[in-house]
Amino acid sequence: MLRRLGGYSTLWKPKNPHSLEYLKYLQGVLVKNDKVTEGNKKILVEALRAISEILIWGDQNDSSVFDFFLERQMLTHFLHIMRQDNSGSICVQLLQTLNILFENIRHETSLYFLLSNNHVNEIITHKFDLRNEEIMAYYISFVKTLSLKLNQATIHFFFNEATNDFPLLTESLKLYNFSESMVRIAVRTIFLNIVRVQDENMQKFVHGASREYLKEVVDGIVGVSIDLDQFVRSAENVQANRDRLRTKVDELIDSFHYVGELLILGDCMADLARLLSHRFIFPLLLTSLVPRTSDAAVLLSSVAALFSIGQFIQIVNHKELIHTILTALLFEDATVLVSHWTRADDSFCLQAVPPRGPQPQSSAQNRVFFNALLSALDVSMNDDYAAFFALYTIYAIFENKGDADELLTAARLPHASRRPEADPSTRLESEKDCDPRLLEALRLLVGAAGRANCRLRTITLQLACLVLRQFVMVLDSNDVHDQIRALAESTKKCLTGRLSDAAFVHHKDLFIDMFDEEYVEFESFRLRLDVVGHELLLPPSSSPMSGLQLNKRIPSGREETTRATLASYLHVRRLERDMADACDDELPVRVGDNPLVAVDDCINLANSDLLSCTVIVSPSNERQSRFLVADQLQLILVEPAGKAGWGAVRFAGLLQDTSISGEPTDSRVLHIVVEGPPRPSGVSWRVGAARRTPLLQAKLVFDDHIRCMAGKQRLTKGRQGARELKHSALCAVLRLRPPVDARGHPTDRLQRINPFRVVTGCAPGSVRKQNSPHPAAVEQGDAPPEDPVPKK
Amino acid sequence: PRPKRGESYRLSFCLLFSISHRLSFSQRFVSYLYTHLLFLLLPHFRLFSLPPLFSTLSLYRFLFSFTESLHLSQFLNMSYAYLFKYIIIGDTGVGKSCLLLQFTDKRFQPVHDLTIGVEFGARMITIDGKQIKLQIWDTAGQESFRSITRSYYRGAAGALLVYDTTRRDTFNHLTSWLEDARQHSNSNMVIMLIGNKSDLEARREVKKEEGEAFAREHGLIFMETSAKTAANVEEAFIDTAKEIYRKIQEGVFDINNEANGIKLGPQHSPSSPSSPGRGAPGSGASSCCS
Repeated sequence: MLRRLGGYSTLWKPKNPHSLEYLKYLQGVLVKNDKVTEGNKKILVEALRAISEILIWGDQNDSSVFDFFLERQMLTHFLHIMRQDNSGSICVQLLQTLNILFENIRHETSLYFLLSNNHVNEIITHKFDLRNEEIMAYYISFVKTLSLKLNQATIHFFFNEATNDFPLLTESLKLYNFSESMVRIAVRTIFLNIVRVQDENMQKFVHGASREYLKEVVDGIVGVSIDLDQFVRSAENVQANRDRLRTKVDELIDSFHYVGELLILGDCMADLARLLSHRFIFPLLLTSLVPRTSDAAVLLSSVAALFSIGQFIQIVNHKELIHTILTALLFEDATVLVSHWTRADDSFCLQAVPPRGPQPQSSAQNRVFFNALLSALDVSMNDDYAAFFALYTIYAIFENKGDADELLTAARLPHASRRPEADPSTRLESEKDCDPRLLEALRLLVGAAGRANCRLRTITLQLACLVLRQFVMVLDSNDVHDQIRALAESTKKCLTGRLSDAAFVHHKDLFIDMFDEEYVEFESFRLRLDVVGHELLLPPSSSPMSGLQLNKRIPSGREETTRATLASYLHVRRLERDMADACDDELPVRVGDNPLVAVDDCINLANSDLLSCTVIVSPSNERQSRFLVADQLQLILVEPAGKAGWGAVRFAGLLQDTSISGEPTDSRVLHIVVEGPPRPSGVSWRVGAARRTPLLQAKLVFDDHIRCMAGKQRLTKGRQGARELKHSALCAVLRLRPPVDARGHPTDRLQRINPFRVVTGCAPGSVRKQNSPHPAAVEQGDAPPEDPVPKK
Repeated sequence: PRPKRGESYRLSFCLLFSISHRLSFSQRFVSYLYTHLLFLLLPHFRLFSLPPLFSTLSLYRFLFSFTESLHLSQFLNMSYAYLFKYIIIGDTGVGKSCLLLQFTDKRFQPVHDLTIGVEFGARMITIDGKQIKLQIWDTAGQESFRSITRSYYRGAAGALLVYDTTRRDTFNHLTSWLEDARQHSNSNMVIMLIGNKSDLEARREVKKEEGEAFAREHGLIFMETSAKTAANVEEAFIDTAKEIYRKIQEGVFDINNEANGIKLGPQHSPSSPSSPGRGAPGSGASSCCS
């Protein structure tokens, strides 16, 4: 009835749609609906969709299905239908069907048959209405799927040598500048997939056909760099522009990766290397490092230029190109700059630099780029804005994968040697050498961290230490080692001097917390040079409102200064340790000799004061009956276990991180919060999250208010004592001495009287851990376990 | 005796609305108009000369298929308020394509011995009365190019990170996937963790609690789905979209920056005249993948 109502508007659907019979039926439908009309569109779309499903099934299960498809030349039907469709609905379905077909086909022979009669190329060149978002998306996905099938065997189905026809390449390159980013990315994927096919004739063709495209790519990079530089200059105060800056940085790095991958893949990419150096590196980047010679020239700020150079050297590892850059950067003078970019209306164009008259060859004119690099490292007058990126460039040169060892040796720059070291003794003397000016600049930079008024950000110091450490690893000159060790020691001493006020006067109470937090940060923060860019491209900020982590900005206020000094201290200390080849056995700070107890340990409580209480854990409001024990360092909740005098630990937290408060309405109640250890703040999604999370938040209900008072007192004293102990242990590690008054006595009297002796016996209130791995044995306990002898 | 016209009219409406609860307001409104039109024309069709029960039944079925086709074709190219781009990531064989197909193209019913890989899918959804188009791009096969993966990640507003609940190794690889995603994506990208194949309870190797814990630890939204039975598939895509939408409302996303994977619909950007291809609803430009 429905059929009659709707005419021939719906397909017959068998119970099992995956069969040869059904494909035959669908083929019949396509044949019958030879002419596309409004009326049969729906049925055609459904038929096309069903065909894709059967074909995939057939490819995996029944080869006769595919034979039928090829025998009846169903692709011809497809083309025929496609050409009649003017609204697009059938084209979309067709593209989806083809997409599914090519993506899922597993048998190579089936694939070859599908490609063999040029139909696919006709589909690629078909004039689809690409303004339709849907058609565009399916079209580009289809072409991309095809490009993933390219290899030496299939390339001839797409590239016709005789007619010099390669629609897959030419059609997709037309879309390189399409407004939709996903399409642009797809075009890049397609191009990469084409370039990596090793076929001589095709490479030759690509070389000719992509010339214009590659020029556009390089000019695109130039445009992005100039945009980026504009945001660097203007984004400081506008949050939205900062996001744009980040976008530009990412875009630039993407492009670097893209050209880097192209350069590795294709022999036909020699052009690209030439374009990059002649249009981007010399006229834009290197020109920006030297003083302006022409008013019309477009120059980048030195920070943006150094950033781009560093990124480029780090990402691209094409040998010739890296050699060209490094030769210029390390040896050349300004005469290599023969062109520059100028602004023309809305675009930019490359212009030749008017030839200069013969210039006197003074030594300052030599190595002009290298000198610029060195002077950027100088932080004696400026902040470390440019210094960071100069360091970054040096680091990138050190790490470059362009096989430029000889070049760097000639420049007396240390480098990470990629070649297997045959015999250290055969190394040239000069390979162990380092340019003295560079070494001096690095030493001054690290030394500046010790100065009280320094504006060196921790991240710059970290990078400087990293670079020095890398240098030291490859240089085996004792002189250099001694110099750096002496530098680290003296800087550390300066930093220690600046910390003692903080530790004993300003932040006495918070000092251990600050140290713990900075230490965690120090341990967890890994310098990721590929992601750090956009934050550091803006002028160094001192405001916490900039949203940057403390190590990426200048501290403001006393607390931040102390934290930054602590962080600097830790970095310099590590450098010093590495130079002395010593391992770190002092940090993290340990207090006392007794090991800390952990949950489920069984401990002897015979000599401890126990307070019975009910623990109400928030937020679950679970009630537990426990005994409260305050050790020297820990707050412990135990449950009686087995023999009298022994208990199983149910909770253990540090007293130093415990806060205690009473309850005004009930004198038997104490509220406690035990904070966990600090977490690193570095990961982006944790920004704004609390540095510490409570391990336990609970209400303790005691039997009466006397016991409650006792508990409170014990915990408060315990906390204070634990913090004092930690404080003095920390100061011992940092070699901090309390400031002395005029008569030579410590101003801080408390330091002399330590109320909590470190006890070795079973002192009241102390708990010692039974290191028994078998708590069960204790529970069954025929004989009470021996009181363990404290370890020496 | 023929059914009273009013009664049958009312019944049709009930039915229409019961099936169209998933349509958006504007879609319902158009269906409503069509129903009106239908009833005005009915006498001319002489439908009422048929036995009453039959006529009403066939009418319902007709209406049903009609609204279904409306849902599929007419509204796909309708203008939207926002377009969100998604990517799907995770190990091979975890069912990324199945999820995509299940969400965007219901006409492919999952069959147990047939997996169909797809690269792209799109669908309209409605959030808060707004038409939102979701475009989902599969990144499979492009992992060999770093420049491409980077760009894909950053071009997306949402990511579905999928593992297979029946394969422990796919769960173990989540950390490295997530690291990649965090490193390359824009920081506002909404990531949803999906444990797929929840229908295969007997072969389960990763407990639901483990997935939850991982999601909590890394600040992700979490859901267990089955691309086979379609359980939670809608929710996974739509909840991600809701989260993105919420971030837009809060002003976290810079919607004018297309690099974020969000695009304003044609009516939001007066500068770009609507192209003929995506023209008025009813041009029926496309019928797949609604």
